[in-house]
Amino acid sequence: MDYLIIGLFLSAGLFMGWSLGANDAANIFGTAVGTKMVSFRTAAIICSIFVIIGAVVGGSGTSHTLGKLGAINAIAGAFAVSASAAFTVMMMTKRGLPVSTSQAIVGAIIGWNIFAGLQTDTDVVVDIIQTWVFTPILAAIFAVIIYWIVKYIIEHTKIHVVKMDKYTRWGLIIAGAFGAYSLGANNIANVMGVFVQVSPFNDIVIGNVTFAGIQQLFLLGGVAIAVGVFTYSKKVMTTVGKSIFKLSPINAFVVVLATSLVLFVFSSEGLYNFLTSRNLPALPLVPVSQSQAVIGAIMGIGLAKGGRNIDLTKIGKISIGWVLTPFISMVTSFVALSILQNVFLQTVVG
Amino acid sequence: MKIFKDRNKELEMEIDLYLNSLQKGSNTFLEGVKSYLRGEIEQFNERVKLITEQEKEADEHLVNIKYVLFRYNLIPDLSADMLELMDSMDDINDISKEVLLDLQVIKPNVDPLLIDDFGHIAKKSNKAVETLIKGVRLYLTEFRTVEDYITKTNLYESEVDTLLHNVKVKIFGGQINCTLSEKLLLDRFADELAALSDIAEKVASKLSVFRFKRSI
Repeated sequence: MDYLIIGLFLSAGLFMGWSLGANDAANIFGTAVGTKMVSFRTAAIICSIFVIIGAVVGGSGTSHTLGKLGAINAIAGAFAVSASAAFTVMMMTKRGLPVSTSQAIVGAIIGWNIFAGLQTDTDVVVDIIQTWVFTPILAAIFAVIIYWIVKYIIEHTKIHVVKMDKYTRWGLIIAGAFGAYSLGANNIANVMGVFVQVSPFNDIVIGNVTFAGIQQLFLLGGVAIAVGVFTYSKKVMTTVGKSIFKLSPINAFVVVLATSLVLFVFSSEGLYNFLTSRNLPALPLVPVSQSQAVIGAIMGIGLAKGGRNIDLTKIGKISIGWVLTPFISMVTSFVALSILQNVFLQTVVG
Repeated sequence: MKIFKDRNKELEMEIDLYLNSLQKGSNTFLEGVKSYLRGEIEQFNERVKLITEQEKEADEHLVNIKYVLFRYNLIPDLSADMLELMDSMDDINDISKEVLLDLQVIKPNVDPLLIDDFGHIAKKSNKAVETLIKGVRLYLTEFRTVEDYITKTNLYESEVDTLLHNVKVKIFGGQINCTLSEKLLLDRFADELAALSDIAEKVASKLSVFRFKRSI
C-alpha cells in the first residue's frame, strides 16, 4: 500500500494521541501546574519524555486486551474507529471536560464489531467495565492511604515550610514522571492499539537489539501524545488543577501519586506476571480512564478530610460525560465506517 | 555557580535572619527603655542607634524575603500568608524604634513612683513579642504546637493591658505631683510601650488563621 495512504490512515491514531496528550496527560500534572508548583513547560517536557518511554517499553499488555475486544483487521477500519474515538474526545475536550479516551476507544471498537457483524466478547467487555468502576474507587483508596501517610509525616516531623515546598515540588515531578510512564504504558493502546493487527512497520534489527514494528508504532503514538501535551493541555490542566477541588500542592502530590499507581497496576505486565505466578489475584491489563482516576483520587482526599469542599455538581457533570463518551463514540464509529465503506469504497472489515 | 543556588535555603535563611532582627530589636527596645528609666543617657543613646540599625537590617531582610519568594515562585500556596505575616511583624521594629526616638526627643519626666510600672509594661511587651516570634518559628516547622504560643502571647498582652490601666490610674489618680500636660505625656508614653504587645496580639491572631491553612 502507498505510504501516503498508510500515513493518512495512521493520522487518525496520531490525532487520538494528540487528544490523549491534551487531556489525560494533562491530568497527571494538572494539579501541580494549577497550583503553580511546577511550570507548564517543565511538566510538558517531563510528561512527554516519560510517556514515550512508557508507550515503547510497556505498552503491549493493554493493547493485547483491546485486541481481544475487537481485532480490527483492515487499516481503513482501524482509521475509522480511531478517528471516531478521537473526534468524540475532541468534542468533549472543547467543552472543558476531562474526558476518557479509554471509554471512547472501547465504544468505537464495539461500533466496529457491530458494523462487521461480529460478536463482541462479553467477558472482555465485563472486564473492561469492571476496571472503569474500580479505577476511581482504587484511586480514592490509594489517595486516602497516601494522604494519611503524608499528613502523619508533615505533622510529626519538623520540616521547615520552605524545605517542604522543595520536597513537594520534587515529589510532584517524580510522581508526575511515574504517572506519565504509566500513562504511556496504559493508554498507548487507545492511541495505537487498533492498528496493531495492521501495523505497517517491520522490525528493525541493529546488532543484538531488535526494535519491533509494534514498538515503532507505539513510539509514533508516544510522539503524538507529546505534541498534544505541548499544544493543547494547558486549558485542561487549569480545569483539573483549580475548579473541581481546591488542592494544596501537597494534596496535588497525593492525587498525582494515587493516579499514577492506579495506571501502573492496570498496565504493568511485570506486576501481573509476578502476581499470577504466585497464584495471587491480579488486576487485568486494561486501558483505564485517567480522568476517572484523578477524580477518584480527589474525592478520596475529600473523604479523608471529612467530605467537605467537594463540588458535587461538577463531578456529576463529568460523570454524565463518562456515560455519554462510549455511546457517542460507538455511534460515531458506526457512521464513519458506513461512510468510509459506502462513499469512499474502502475495505473497513478484512 | 549562581544557577545552582538553592533558593529555598536562601529564603529559609532570610526568614531566620529577619526573625532574629526582630527579636534583637525587641530586646534593644526593652534595654533602651530600662536605660532611660534609670537615667543612663549614654547607654540609652547607644540603644537608639542600635535599634535604628536593627530596624534597617530587618527591612533589608524583608525586602530579600519578598524578592526571593516571588521571583522564584516559592511556596506559592502560602506565599501570600507568609508575606502578610512577615509584613505585619515589621511593625515590631518600627514601633520599638519610634518609642525610643520619642523618648530621646520628648524626654518625658518619669516620676520615681512610675518607673517600675513603666519597666514592667516594657518587659511584658517584650515578652509578648518574644513569644510571638517563637510561635512564628514554630509555624514554619512544627505548626501543630503554634497554638500554645499564640495563647501565651495573648496572655502577655492582657497583662500589659492590666498594667497599663494601673499606671493610668496612678498617673491621673493624684498619687504623683505633676501638671496635666506632663500627665498626658506620661499617658502617651505608657500607651506607646503597650503598643508593642498590641502588635504582637494582632500578629498572633493572624498566625492562628495561617496555622489552620498550613494543615493539609
